[in-house]
Amino acid sequence: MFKKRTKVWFRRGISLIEAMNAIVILAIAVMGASAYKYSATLDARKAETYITSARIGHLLCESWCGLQGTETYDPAAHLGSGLAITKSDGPAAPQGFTTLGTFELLLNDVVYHINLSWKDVSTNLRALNVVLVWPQRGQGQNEIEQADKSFELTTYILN
Amino acid sequence: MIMARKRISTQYGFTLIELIIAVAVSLVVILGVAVSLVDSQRSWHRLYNRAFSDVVTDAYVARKTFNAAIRKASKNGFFIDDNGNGIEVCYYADDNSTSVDRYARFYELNGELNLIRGKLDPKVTLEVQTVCGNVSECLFTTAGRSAQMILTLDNGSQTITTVSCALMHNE
Repeated sequence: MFKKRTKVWFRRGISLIEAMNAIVILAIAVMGASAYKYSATLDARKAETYITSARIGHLLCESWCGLQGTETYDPAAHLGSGLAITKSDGPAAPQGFTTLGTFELLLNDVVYHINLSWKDVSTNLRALNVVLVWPQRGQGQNEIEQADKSFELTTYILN
Repeated sequence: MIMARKRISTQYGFTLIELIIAVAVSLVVILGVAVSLVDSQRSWHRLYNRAFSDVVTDAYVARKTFNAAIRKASKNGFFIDDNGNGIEVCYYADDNSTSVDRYARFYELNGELNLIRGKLDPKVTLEVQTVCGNVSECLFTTAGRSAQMILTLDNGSQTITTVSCALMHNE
């Protein structure tokens, strides 16, 4: 009797419960790692979109600067042959700035809504402002109402 | 009777039902883990490509080279090809130059963005450099004294469009 009980207590192998526990723990660990990688990928996409918006803002500001901040600047006419930029609804201009125009630009599958505005700060000094907004959450949401991220750039030009 | 009961209570191994259930549960879990692993690996690969693929690094090099050349160019001497696939700017070789004596020409040919640097008057080519490959579309434009480059790069699996603009500061 004593010998048989000892044999059962120190049996080889693992029980079904033990095996399932191990599998569940492993699954949780793997799911955690996957969620981490998914978040990293998502954040990388957000960062890429943000960088692209900064480049677009820079492109528009510099182009406008090249024309001395003229009030007749039209990015759709200047850049329309290479970029999908059209006149459309856009965000509001900052307070005190006069809106030059609002546009919509499609680049790398993201639609950016743009407002170009200007303000004469002093004699011969003009501030040129670009505001970009875009929907960061969800794919295919291109309406300005869904825009939840923005980038703003102001540059100055002597004219 | 007593001997038989003892034999049953000390049996080794699993029953067939236990084994089938365990295998089924394990298969489901392993399948889920495998799908999750494959998906995360794909996500990781996409993430890596977003940051380090050849088109991304090509775009970076193209922007840097274009900006560096345009920013030191003269605003009085530049022209663009009729189809917009090339731009030529003039610049000063160094601080001792009294007039623009160098030129830089960007152009796209056979999927490559090239840069020629040379002397002016007489026009002599000094250097031909391939800035980047994988170019599917390239367009140069100007607005006043600024120049823009809109570059689409495609390596077959990834396509990105990058934009760059710089002012020509020199006289």
